[in-house]
Amino acid sequence: MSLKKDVKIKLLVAFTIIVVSIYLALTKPIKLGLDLQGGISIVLEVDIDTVLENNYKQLGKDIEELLKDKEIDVLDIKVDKKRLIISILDNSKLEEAKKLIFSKFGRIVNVETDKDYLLISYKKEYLENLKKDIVNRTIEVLRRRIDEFGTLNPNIAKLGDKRIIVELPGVVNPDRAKAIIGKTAQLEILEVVDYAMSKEELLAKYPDGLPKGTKIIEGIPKKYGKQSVKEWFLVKDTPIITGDDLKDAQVRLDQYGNPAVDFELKSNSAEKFGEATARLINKRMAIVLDNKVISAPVVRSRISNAGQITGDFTPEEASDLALVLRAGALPAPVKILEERLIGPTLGKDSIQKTLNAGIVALTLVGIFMIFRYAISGFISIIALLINGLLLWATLVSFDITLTLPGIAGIILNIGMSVDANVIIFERIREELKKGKTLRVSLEEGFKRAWDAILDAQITTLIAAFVLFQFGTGPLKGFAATLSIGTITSIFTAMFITKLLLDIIVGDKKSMKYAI
Amino acid sequence: MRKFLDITPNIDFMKLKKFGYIFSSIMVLLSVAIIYFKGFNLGLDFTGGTAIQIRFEKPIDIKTLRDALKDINLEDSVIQEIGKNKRDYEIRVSLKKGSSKEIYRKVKTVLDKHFPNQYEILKLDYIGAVIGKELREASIYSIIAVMVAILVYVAYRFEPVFAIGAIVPLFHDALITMGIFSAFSIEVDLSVVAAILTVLGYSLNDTIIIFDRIRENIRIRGKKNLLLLINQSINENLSRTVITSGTTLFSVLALYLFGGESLKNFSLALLIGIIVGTYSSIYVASPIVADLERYLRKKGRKYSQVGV
Repeated sequence: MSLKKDVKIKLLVAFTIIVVSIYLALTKPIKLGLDLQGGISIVLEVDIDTVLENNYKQLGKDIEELLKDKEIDVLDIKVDKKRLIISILDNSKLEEAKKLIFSKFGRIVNVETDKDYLLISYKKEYLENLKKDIVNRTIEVLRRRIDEFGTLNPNIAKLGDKRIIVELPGVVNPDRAKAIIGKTAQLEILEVVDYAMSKEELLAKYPDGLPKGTKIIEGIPKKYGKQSVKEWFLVKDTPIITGDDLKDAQVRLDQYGNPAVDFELKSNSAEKFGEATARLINKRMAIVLDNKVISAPVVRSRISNAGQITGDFTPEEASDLALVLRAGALPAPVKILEERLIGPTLGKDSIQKTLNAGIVALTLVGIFMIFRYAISGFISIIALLINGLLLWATLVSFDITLTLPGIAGIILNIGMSVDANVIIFERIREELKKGKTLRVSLEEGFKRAWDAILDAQITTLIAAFVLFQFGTGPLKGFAATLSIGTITSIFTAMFITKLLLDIIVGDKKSMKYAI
Repeated sequence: MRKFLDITPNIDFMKLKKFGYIFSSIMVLLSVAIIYFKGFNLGLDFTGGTAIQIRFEKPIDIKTLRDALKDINLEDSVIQEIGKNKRDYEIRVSLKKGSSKEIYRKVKTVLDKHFPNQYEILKLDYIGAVIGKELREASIYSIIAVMVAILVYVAYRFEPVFAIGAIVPLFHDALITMGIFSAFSIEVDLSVVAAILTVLGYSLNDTIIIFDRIRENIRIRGKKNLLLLINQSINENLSRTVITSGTTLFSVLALYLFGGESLKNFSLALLIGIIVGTYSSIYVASPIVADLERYLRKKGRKYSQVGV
C-alpha cells in the first residue's frame, strides 16, 4: 500500500502526538480530588473588619497623642470598621487639626471635616494592600501550621479576595483540623488586677467605672467534679508578653501528670517577662488565648525564659496548642464558611462505580458505532480511545485535579465525542446516496460537516466555561474534563478519523462495509 | 440498525407542530406552576447546614437510627437512606441546630454508644449560611449567563430569527427539567445546576445541526418555500439528531445506573434534559423559525438579510 506524501506527514504528526500523550499519561500521576482520595476541605473567610477596627483604634490613639502635643484637646473618638469620628474641644482648631493629621498620616488616610467632626478613613489603596497582606500572611501561617502537623500534599490557596481554601488529603480528624486551622492563637499574658466568679460581681466592685487601662476578660469554664465554674478577670490592657515573644512551645506533663504546654521565650522577651514576674510575685497573671483566660496561675517566683500553660487539655489539644503557638498567630480571626470531609471508603467506592459506568458506556457506544458504521465505526472508536488518551495527557500535563464529577465528564464525553463522527458519517452516507464515489463523498462529508460540528461544540464549550467560572472545586473538575474532551474530540474527529479513513479507503471508488 | 433511518423519512413535522406547541406549552406552564407552588427540594449546597453520611457494618432500620438520635435531640433531622442496602444513611441537620463541630461530636458520641465499632463516617459536609446564599445566586446568574452567551453566539452565526428559535427551546428544556425535579421532590444541589448548564449547551447541538442544514438548504434553494424546506431539513437530519443524542444518552444512562449515589441526581438531570432537548430541537426550535419567518413576511416587513 503506497501512501501519499501528505498522508505520510499527517501520520507522523498523529504518531508523535500519540506517543507524547502516552509518555505523559504513563509518567505523570494524575492529581486526584479530595472527593476521590478522601480528606477534608475547609473554606475560611478572613475577618478583615476586626483588624480594621483594631487598626482604627490604634490610629485614634496615635492621633489623640499627636493633637495633644499641639495643644488640641480631643473630646471623643468614635471607631467603627469604616472610619474614625473625632470631635475636639475647640472647634475653631478643626482646620489646624485636619492639617496636622494630614501631614502625619496623609499617606494612608483621607481626612475630612463635617461641621464639628473630623472624619478619618483609610485610603482605598491602603485598604487593598492591607487586605492582601493579611490574607497572604494568614496563608503563610496556615502553611506553617499544616506543615508542622505533618499532612502530605496540602493545598492552601486564595479564593476570591478574602477567602482561603485549605485542602488536606488523607484521613483527617475534622475536630483537630479545625482546631489547627481555625484557631487565631493570639496568646497574651496579662497582669490580673482583680477577679470574681461573675461579671456582675466584678463590675459591682468598681461603681465608678473600671480603672484606666484595664479590661474584663472571661475565663474558660473549669470542671470541679460535676460542677463547672467560670471566673471573670479584670486585667491590664497591655500584655506583658504575646505570642510573638515565644521562641518555642512543646507538650509536657504538668506536676499532676496532665498534658500542658511548655513555652520558651526569646532572649529580650525573657528579660521583660522576668521583670514583670518579679514584680508580680504572689499575684496572679492571666494566660489569655483568643480573648479567653485559659489559666491564671499565681506567680511564685521570678520567671524569665520559660513558662508553662496548663488547662483542662486532652493530650491532642495540648499538642495542637503547642503547634499553633510555634507556628504563630493568624493576623486576623478566621471564620469557617464551608467544610467538606470525605472518608477514604467513599472515594474508592466512587472510583470503582464510575469505572464500571465508563466501561458500560464505552461498550454500548462502541457496539452501536461499529454496528451502524462498520469499518468507519471501528475507526471512530479508535479515535474515541485516542481522545481519551489526549484528554488524560492534558489533565496530567496541566496538573488539573480529577474529581468525581470530572470522571462523570469523561464518561459523558464518550457519548458526546462520537457526535462529531456521527455528523460526518451521516453526511458521507448522504453524499453516497446522491451517487458520488466513496472518495468524493468522504471529502465532501468532512468538509460540509465542519460548520455543524464547530457550532455545536462551541455551545457546549460556552456552558462548560460558565460552569468553570461559578462552580466549586469538584464541579470545576467536570467543567474541565467536559471542555478539554470537547476540544480534543474535534481534533480526533476531524484529523484522526479522517487520516485513518484516508489510509484505508485510499482512492477506492467504493468499498464494502466502509461506512 | 445499520439501515435505521437510512432512507430519508418524510414526516410532516410542520403539520405536527401544532401538537408540539400545545404539548410544550402545557408542559412549560405545568412546570412553572409546580415550581411556583411546590418549590424545590434544595440540597445542602443551597440551604446550608450539616450533613453526615454514615455506613453501618450491618443493615439497620431507619427507625433504630432515629431512636438513637433522640439522645441528642436530633431525631427530627432529615435522615435519608442512601442506596438500597440499608447500610448507608445521611443525617442532615439545619444550621439552627449548631455548628458542624458540635453536631459531629454529638453524632459520634451517640453512634459510639449504640453502634460501637460498627460504623464508619463516609462524609461530612458543612455549608454556612453565607455560602448557601451565594451558591443560590451564582446558580441563577450562571444559567442566565449561559443563555445570554448562547444567544449572542447563535445571533452572530445565524440570522436573528434563528437565534430566537434557538433560545426559546432552552427555556423550555431548563424549565421542564426543573419542573420534573420539583414535581418528584428530587433533590436539587449544585451538581444538578451543573447538569442543567450542560444540557443548555448540549441540547443546542441538535438545534444547531438542524439549523445548519436549513441554512445550507436556503443557500441552495432560497427562502421561497421555507416551511417545506425546514420540514425537509428536519427529515434529512433525523438520523443524525437521533443518533447523536442516542450515543450521549448511552453514556448518561450508564452513569445513572452504575455511577453510584453521588452522581444520581446529576445524571438524572442530564437524562431528562437531553431527552427534552432532543424533542425540543425538532418540535419547538424549527417550528418557531418557520412561524417567525412567516409572521415577519406577512407583516410585510422588509427582512432583507439573505442567507448568512
